[in-house]
Amino acid sequence: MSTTADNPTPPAPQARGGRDGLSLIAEGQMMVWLTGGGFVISLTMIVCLVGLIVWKGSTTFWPSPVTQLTLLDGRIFAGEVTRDETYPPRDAEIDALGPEHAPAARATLKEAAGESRRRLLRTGNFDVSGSHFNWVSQFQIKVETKPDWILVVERLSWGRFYGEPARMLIDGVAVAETPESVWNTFREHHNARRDAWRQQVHIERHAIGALNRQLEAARLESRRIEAMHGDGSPQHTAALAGAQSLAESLAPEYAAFQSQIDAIKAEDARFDLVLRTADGTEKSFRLSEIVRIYPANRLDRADKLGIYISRWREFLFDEPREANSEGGVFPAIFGTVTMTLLMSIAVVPFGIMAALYMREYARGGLVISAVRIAVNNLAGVPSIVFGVFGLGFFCYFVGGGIDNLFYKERLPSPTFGTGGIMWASLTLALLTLPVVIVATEEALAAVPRSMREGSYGCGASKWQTIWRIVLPRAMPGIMTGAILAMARGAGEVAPLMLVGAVKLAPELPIDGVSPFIHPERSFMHLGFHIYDLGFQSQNSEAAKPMVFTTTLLLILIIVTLNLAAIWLRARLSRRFRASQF
Amino acid sequence: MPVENGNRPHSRRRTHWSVPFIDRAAGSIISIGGFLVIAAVLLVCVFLALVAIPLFGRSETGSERRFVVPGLGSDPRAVRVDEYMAIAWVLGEDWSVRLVRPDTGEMIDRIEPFADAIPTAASIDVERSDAVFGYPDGTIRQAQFRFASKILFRDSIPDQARDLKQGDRITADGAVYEMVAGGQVRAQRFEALLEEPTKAASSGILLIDEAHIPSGYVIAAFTENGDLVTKSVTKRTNLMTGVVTTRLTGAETPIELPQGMGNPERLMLTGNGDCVFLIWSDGTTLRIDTRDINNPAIAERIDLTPEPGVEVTSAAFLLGRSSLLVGDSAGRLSLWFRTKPADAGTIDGVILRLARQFEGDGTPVVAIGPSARKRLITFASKAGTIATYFSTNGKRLARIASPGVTFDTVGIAPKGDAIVAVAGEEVRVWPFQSKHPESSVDAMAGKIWYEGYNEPQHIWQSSSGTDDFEEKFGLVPLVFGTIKATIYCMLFGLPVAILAAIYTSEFMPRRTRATVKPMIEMMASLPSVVLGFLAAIIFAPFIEDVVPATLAALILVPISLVLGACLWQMLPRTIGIRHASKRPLAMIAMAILAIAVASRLGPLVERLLFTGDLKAWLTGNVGSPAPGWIVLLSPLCIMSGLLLKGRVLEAWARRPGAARTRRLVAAMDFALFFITIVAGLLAAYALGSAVGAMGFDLRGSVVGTYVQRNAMIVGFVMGFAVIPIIYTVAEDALNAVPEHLRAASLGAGATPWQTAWRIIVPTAMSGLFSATMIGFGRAVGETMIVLMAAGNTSIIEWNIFNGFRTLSANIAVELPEAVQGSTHYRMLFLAALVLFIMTFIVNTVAEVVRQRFRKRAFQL
Repeated sequence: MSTTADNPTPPAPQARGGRDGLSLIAEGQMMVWLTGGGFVISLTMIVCLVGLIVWKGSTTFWPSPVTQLTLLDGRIFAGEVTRDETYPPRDAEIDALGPEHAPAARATLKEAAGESRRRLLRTGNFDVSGSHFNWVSQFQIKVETKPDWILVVERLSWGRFYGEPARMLIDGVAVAETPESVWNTFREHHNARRDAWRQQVHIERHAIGALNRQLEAARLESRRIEAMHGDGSPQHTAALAGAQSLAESLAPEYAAFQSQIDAIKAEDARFDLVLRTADGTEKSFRLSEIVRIYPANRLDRADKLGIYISRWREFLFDEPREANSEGGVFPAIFGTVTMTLLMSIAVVPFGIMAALYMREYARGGLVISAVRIAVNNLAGVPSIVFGVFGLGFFCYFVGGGIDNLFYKERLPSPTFGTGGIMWASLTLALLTLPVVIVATEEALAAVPRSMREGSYGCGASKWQTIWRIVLPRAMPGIMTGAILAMARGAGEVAPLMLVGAVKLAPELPIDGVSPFIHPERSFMHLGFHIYDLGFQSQNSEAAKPMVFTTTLLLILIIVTLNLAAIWLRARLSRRFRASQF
Repeated sequence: MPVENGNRPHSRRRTHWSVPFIDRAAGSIISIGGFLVIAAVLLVCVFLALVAIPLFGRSETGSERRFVVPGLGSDPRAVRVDEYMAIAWVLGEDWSVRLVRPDTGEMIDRIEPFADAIPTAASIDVERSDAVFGYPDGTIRQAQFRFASKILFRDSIPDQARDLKQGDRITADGAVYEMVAGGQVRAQRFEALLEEPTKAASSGILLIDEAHIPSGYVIAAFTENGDLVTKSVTKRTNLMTGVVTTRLTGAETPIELPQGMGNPERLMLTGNGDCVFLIWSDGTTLRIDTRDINNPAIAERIDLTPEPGVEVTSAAFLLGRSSLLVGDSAGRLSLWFRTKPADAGTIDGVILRLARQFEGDGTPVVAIGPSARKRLITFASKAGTIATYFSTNGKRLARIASPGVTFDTVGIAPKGDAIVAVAGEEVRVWPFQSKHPESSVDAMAGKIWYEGYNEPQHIWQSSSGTDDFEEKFGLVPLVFGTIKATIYCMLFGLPVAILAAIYTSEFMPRRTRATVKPMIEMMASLPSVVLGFLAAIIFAPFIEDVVPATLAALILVPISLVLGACLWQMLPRTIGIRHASKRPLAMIAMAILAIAVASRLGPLVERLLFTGDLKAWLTGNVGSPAPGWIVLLSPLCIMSGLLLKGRVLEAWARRPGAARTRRLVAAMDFALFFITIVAGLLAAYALGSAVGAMGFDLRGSVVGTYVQRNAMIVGFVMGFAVIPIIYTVAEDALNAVPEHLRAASLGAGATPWQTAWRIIVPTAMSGLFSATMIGFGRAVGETMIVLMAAGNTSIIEWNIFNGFRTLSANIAVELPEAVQGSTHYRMLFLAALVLFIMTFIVNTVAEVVRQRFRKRAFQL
C-alpha cells in the first residue's frame, strides 16, 4: 500500500519520519468508512434476516410450558406464552381493575416509569371460550402457576386445547379418575384409535373415491354421447342406462365400505377423554380427533425433543389441517418440487437450443444483437407480467382451446382452461428462460476456439463437434444455469398466484390414479402458502409459527439449490481444467 | 488426427450416411427450436398488446332498419325495447301502445291502456318498469309497463314454436317465442298494468314524476293551482281479501314561482326521492329539497342554460336518477352533477354543477334516451342527428345522421346493443355495439369527473359493494404508486449497494471478497414473498412502535461511520495499516453503537420537538411545521458541512498538513468533525425554524399521517431486494476495469482511495449506471413485497408514511377475479403492458450503456 504524498513539490525529507499529515488526508479514511458502511449494512441485514428466519423457524416446534394465570377479576387463563413485551397501559385499563386493586397497580407502574409487562397467551379452547389468544398485563395477575398435569391437545379442528385430565370413559363408564391414570389409560388406546382413523380416511378417500370416479366417468361419457348424438337419442339412452346400472352395481360395494367406516366410528365412540379447562369447564374428546397430546409441564428434555421431531415429521410429510395453520405442508412441498422439475424439463432443452442457435448457428450480426438485447430484456421483465401472459395465453387461450376440443362434456367447468401445474411450469419456464440462455451462451463462449478448430480439423461434422466437444465442456455452465433457473422458479410466487397455485389442493398433481400425472390440476406451493398463511388466514396469530417454518423450508430449498450450483460449477470446471491441453 | 492418413488410398473411408444426415437434422432442429424460443419472447409482448387493443376499439353501428307503424300519430311519446330485442313498444300520440318486432317491424299487438281517460301528465321510468300518470281531476294512476319473459319447457311450448331452430323467433298471440339453448323456448310479452286512480292533489295535475325507494314510492307533481305535491305511497294488501289499499301521505305546498314566470315545463324527481327539479324553458331551475316530504323547501335556484337566448329543449336523468341531463336549443347536452362540497351553502349541502357537455349537430336537442343499465346516453337533434356518448368520459360512440328527419323520441336497448328512434309513424332501429366504452385514453391518463365526486380526479376503483357502482379505470394512481415505490426503494438501496460494491472491489482483501460476494449474491435469490412477509408481519408492527428511533438511526448510522473514521485515523499508522482488513468489525461496532444511541435519542427528540407524539404531529393535529424541517434539514446540513470540509478545508489544509505530524492532523480532523456536526445542527435549526415560520409545512407532502404499512417499510425491504442485484452488476463493472490502470495509479503514489475515486469509479461509471438501471427495473416490477407491505390503497400522495398501490400488486390482487374479456380484464392486461414497457425502456437503456462500457473497458 502506497502512502507517499502526491504533492508535486516534495516537502522536507523528514516528512517521511512522521510529519506526513498530508498522507492522512489522501487516505480518505472517511469515504472508505462510508463505502464500508454500505457493505456492512447489507451484510448485517442478510445475516440478521437469515438468522431471524432460522431462529424463529427452528424454535416454533419446540414445546413450551403452559402457564396458568389467575386474574384479579377472577378469570383464569392457561396457555403458552407467545409474546412478552412492555407497553404503557392506558388509564382505563387500570381503572377497570376496580378501586381495591387500582392504586397498587398505579404504584407499581409508577416505579416502572409507566411501563407494564404484558404477555400474549395462546389460550386455545376456541370451542369453549371463543378466542384463541388473550393479552394479559402484569398488573392484572393475582396468581401465576404452572399446573403440573395440564395437557396440550392438538386436534383436527378448533385449534389447540389446554386442560387437565378429568376422567377417561369407556362405554360411558369412568375407568380412570386421577390425572395419572387417565393419562396412562389414554396412552393405551390412543395409537389404536388413530390408526383406525387413518384407515377410515383411507377408505373414504381411496376406496370410495375410486367408486365415485367410476360414476363420474360414466356421467361424463353420457354427456359426451349426448353432445355427439343429441338428447334422447338411442345412444344417449343406452349410455344413461349404463350409468344407472353401474351405479346400481356399485351400490353393494359402497355399502360395504360404509359399514366398515361405521364400524370404526362405532368403536371410536366408545372412548371419551374428558378434560377440564382452567376455569372448570369440561370437554370430552374422541381419541381419534386428537393428533398430539402432551403434559407440557412434565416433559423432560428427551420428551420435548420427541415432540419436536414428531412435529417436524408431521410438518414435512402430512397434509395441512385447520385452514393450513396446523399440520403439514407435504402437498406444498410436492407441488413446489413437481412444478420446478416440470419447469426445468421445459426450460433446459429450449434454453440450450436457443443459446446454441444464437452462438453456433445464427448468422447476421444485427439480428443476433437485437435478439440478445431482447433476451437480456426478458430477464428484467417483472414476473407478474409473465403471470398475466400465462393466464391469458396458456390458461384461457390454449387451455380453453383444449377444453373445447377434448373436454367438451365437462364444460362449463374448465379442465385445462384454468390454472394448473402445467401452465404454471410453462409460465415459469418462460420466466427463467433468459437465465438458462445467458448461462449457456457464456459457457459456450468460454469453450476455446482452438478446441472447435481441432475437432473440425479431425474431420468431425458441426454437430459432432458440438455434441462431443463443445457441449461437454460447456456442461458446468449449463448445469449452473439450470440450477439457478430452478432456484429462481422455486421462489417465484407472483405469477403462480395467477396460473394455478391455490390455498388447498389435497389432490396431488402426480398420484396413483390413472393417468398418474395430472398436468391440469392446480397445486399448492410453498411460497404461495407463505403468502396465504400470512395474509389470508382467519387466525393469523396462530398461523405465524407455520409461516416461519414454511419460510425456513423454502429458503433451505433455495439455498441448497444455489449451493449445489456453486459446488457443481467448481467441481466440473476443475475436472475439465485438468483435462484441458 | 494426422493429415497424411487421408492421403493413403486404402485408409480413405467414406463418411457414414448418418453423419451428414444427423448434422443437417440437428442444425435445422436447433434453428427451429432457437427461433421458436425467440418467437416466444416476442409473443409475450404481442399477446399482452392483443388483449389490450380492443380497449381502444371503435364502437360500431350497424345498418339501419326502418318500418312504419301506422296509427302512431305525428308525435309519439316514448319508445322502449326489451333486453332480448324481441319487442318494442311505442306510446303513440293517442296514448295507445303499439308493440312491434324491432328486428322485422312486424306488428305484434295494440294495447289501449288509457281507453277510459287520457292523462295530462306522465312519467315512465327508463330503468324500472314503473310509470305514473296524472289526470285533470287531481288523481293519479300508478302503472307497470313491463316486459315479462318466461322460459317454457318441453310440454308447455305452444305448437307453433315447437319446431324452431335455436335463435329463431315467431310471433303468436301477443308474444314473441324464441328457441333458446337446451330445447327451451322463451316467451316474451309486454304488459301494461294500470292501478286504480288515487286522489293525490286538489286540482288538475300538470307534471308528475315518481321514484321507487326501498320503502315504496315517492310521487311529486305540479298542479294547476301552482302547488307542489309530494306524497309517499304505501300499499297494504289485505291478507283475507287480497285487495290492495293505497295510501298517500305528504304535503301539497304552494311554490313561490320566480317572478314573471309561468308554470314550469318539466318536473323531475331524483331516484331516492330527496330532490325535485322544476325546470322552465329558459333554463331557470328550482331545486327543491324533499328529504322531508311533508315540508319541501327550495334549496337552490340555478340557470341551466346561462347563455342568453338558449332554451332547455329536453331533460332526463342519467342512470341512477341522480344527475341531470339537459338538452338545449344550442344543440348541446349538459350533464349536471349534484355535488357536496364543504362550502355548498345550501340547506341540504348540495349544489348542482355542470360536469360535462356533449355536442350534437348544433340544432336543438329534441329527445334524450339514457340507457337503463349503462352510463350510455343517446340523444337526437332537430336536424336528424343521433349521437351516442359514454357519459363518464365523454367518449362518442356513435353518430347517425338522418338529414331532414326530426325524431320525436329515442331510446337505447337495455344491453346497449341497439338504438331506436321514432319520427312520426316511422320507427328506425340501428344495431349498435359499444366496445369497452368505459375505457378511453382520457379516462386512463387524465382526471375524470365521476358521479358522486366533487371534482375531476385520478381514480382506480374496479369493484365495490354497491350495485350502482361505476368502475373507474384511471391508471395514473397505479403508475404513481409504482414510481413512488421505486424512488423510495432506490433512495435507500442505491447508495448502500454502490458503496458496498466499491468497498468490496477496492478495499477488501481478495480472499474475503471471494467468500463475501456469493453471500450477497445469494440474497438475490431470496424469494420476495419471504421479504414481503417479514416486512408486513415483523418489521411494520415493530417499526410502528419505534418510528422516532428509526428515523434517528437513519441519520446517526452514517454519522457514526464518519466518527469511526476519525477515531481510526487517530490510531498509530502501523496499527492502522496492519489491521486495515479488520475495519468492517469496527464499522459494525460503530453502526450498532449508532443504533443504540438512536433508540435513546429518538424518543428524546420526539419529546423535545414533536410534543411527545410524533404520529399526532404527522397527522397535523399538533405542533408547528418547524420541527419537521429541522429534522429533514439536519442530515442535509451535516452532509453539506462534511462535503465542505472535505472539499474546501482539506484542500486548504494540504500545504500546512504536510508540515504537521499525522497525529496532529488526525486530531484536528476529529475536532473539525465535531464542529461540522454542531454547525450543521445549528444551521438546520435556524433554517428549519425560518422555513417553518414562513408557513411551509412538510406535512401533506412528503410526510403525513402514519400508516402501519407504508412506503418507508417498502423502501427498506425492497431496497433489500434490489441491493444484491445492483451490487453484483456494479461490482462486476468495477472489477472489469483493467488491472494495469489500478497498478499504474498506485504506482504513481496515489492512495487506494484516490485510485478508487479518481480512476476506477469514473472508468466504471457507465457500468455503475447500468447497475442502477437494472435495479430500477427490478424495483418497478416487484410484486410480492408491495402486495404484502404497501397497504394497497390507490392514492396519489408522496407521504413516505403512507401506502400506495402499484401496477404489479394491482394485477396480482385483481386479475384472479376479473371476468375474462371484460373491460377490467383488458385494463389489467394494459397495466401489465405498461409495466412491460416501463421495464423494457429501463432495461434497454441499461443494456446499451453496458455494451458501450464493455467496449470502452476493452479499449483501455
